[in-house]
Amino acid sequence: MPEPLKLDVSKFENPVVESGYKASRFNIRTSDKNGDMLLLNTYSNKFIRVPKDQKDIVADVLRKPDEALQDHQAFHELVSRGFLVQKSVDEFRRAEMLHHETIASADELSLILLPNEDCNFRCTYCYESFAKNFMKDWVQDGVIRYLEKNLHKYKTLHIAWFGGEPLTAMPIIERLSEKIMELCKKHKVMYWSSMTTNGYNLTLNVMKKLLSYNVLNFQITLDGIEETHNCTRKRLDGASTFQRIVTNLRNIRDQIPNRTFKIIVRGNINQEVLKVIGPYTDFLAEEFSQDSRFMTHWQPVGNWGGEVISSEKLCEHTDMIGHMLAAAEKGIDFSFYRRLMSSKESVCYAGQRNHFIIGSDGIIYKCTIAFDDEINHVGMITEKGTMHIDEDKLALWVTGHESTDSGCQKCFFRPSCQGASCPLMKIKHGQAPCPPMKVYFKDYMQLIAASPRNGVEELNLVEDGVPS
Amino acid sequence: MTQAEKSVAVSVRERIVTVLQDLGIETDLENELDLAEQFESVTFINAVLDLEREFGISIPDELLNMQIFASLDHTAEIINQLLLEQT
Repeated sequence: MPEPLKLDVSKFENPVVESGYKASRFNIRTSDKNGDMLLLNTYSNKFIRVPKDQKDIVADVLRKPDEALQDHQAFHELVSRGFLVQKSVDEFRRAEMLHHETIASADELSLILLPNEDCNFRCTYCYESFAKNFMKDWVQDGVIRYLEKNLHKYKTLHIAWFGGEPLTAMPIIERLSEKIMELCKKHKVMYWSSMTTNGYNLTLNVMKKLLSYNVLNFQITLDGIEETHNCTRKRLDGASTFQRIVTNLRNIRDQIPNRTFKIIVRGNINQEVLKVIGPYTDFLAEEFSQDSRFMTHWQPVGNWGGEVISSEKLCEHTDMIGHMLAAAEKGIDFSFYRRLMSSKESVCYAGQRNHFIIGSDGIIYKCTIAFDDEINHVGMITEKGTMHIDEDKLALWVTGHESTDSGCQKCFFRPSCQGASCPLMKIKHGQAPCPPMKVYFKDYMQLIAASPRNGVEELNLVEDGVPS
Repeated sequence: MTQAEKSVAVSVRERIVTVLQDLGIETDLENELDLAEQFESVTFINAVLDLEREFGISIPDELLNMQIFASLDHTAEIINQLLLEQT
């Protein structure tokens, strides 16, 4: 009997260090308000806080890793978390490989479905035209048949319910969800779902139903306190909406024991909301800071295409960020932004190969911002479940990105956004925009470090940094 | 453990195995290997949701991590405890 083959894998798992170390180009460093060091790497996704009395040790190791004692605890802590990499490592190639994996990932199919393109609200800043409404029966059939034919190719299916307002079309959501879950079970494909909703119809019973359909992530908007919210987010007939949404959220908070879902409470911040940011912060802290299922996201209001908004009412990140830090100290959870810092997570869904939006009339889009733009109409789904895609249009959305932008190549944020944070802007203007997360990255690091449940690791070196 | 308790315990394990196998996670009643090795984040959440529905329980925050699937025994122990707390 021949001897069994002995494979020596150690040289791959524990490569011999011959070339020395260097600081990763994907490190970014700042300080929190106490003077502690905050250090994050966008490739390894590690985020640490170093106490101020130890930060000089860490800073020295980062600056001159070859001069650091290699049995020094600080050295090992930084290597194990990817803040130091071997000199022989080509981080450009690592980032390039990450980009290939991200854009062409074949593990997950992600569909945004529009069960109703009309809405029961008329928010003043909304860009949607509401020319269409409920998803046609044949389109629903087409979605189901498409999944019947294609689901076996994937490990995971993600459905995002969007609109218009998806909760005005609950029967469609029910019909599709039941069929989708049946298909996922049959093909042993993991399934999860998310929803962007104004929250007006998100009653307790509806919430329980949605949870039974694996809808686990929700984004619901409250634009400040009642007075400001009711100015921007009115019902179709002009009626106020704040109280009903807040009642729904309170009921969910108090009467749903399930801990697996997350609700992102989004606030669109304009100058009017900034005037009441204190009471708004107090309201959010009182209502949601004690429940880890609720997170907060503040978006500065730009010109999104709704009613003409005078420029003095618009808001910039710089107007907002100080207030966010103050809000975090009151216990408001901004850890939502932590995910956006991680590798791949600031790549827009529109830039990914296996991500499509299916409209109520069967048009296939890539982007939820530009429904009226022909460049965004990449195909059609048929009743028989075939997706006819214009591959050249699709290519505009899913190619280029970092590889055609010299500014992206050397950027510390490259692993996170890969030059694909907004393919629409790149198509329109020829250059990938830098997302606000990157532009204000150190501010967001401080914000996350100040937030509860932030996932920042506290690094504590032993007494003199040398292991005993 | 009484014979009746052993019988219930086996039944819980059988039900856990069925739930996991329906999701395509390989295990059997004798499998004491680290189930967490088979879990990605979406698999994890699907398994949690299906177990919650199967047993009519809600898994609390402090247990909502991969360690809940460290082994079949551990998963069963947690579910039995949650079932007990409900009665």
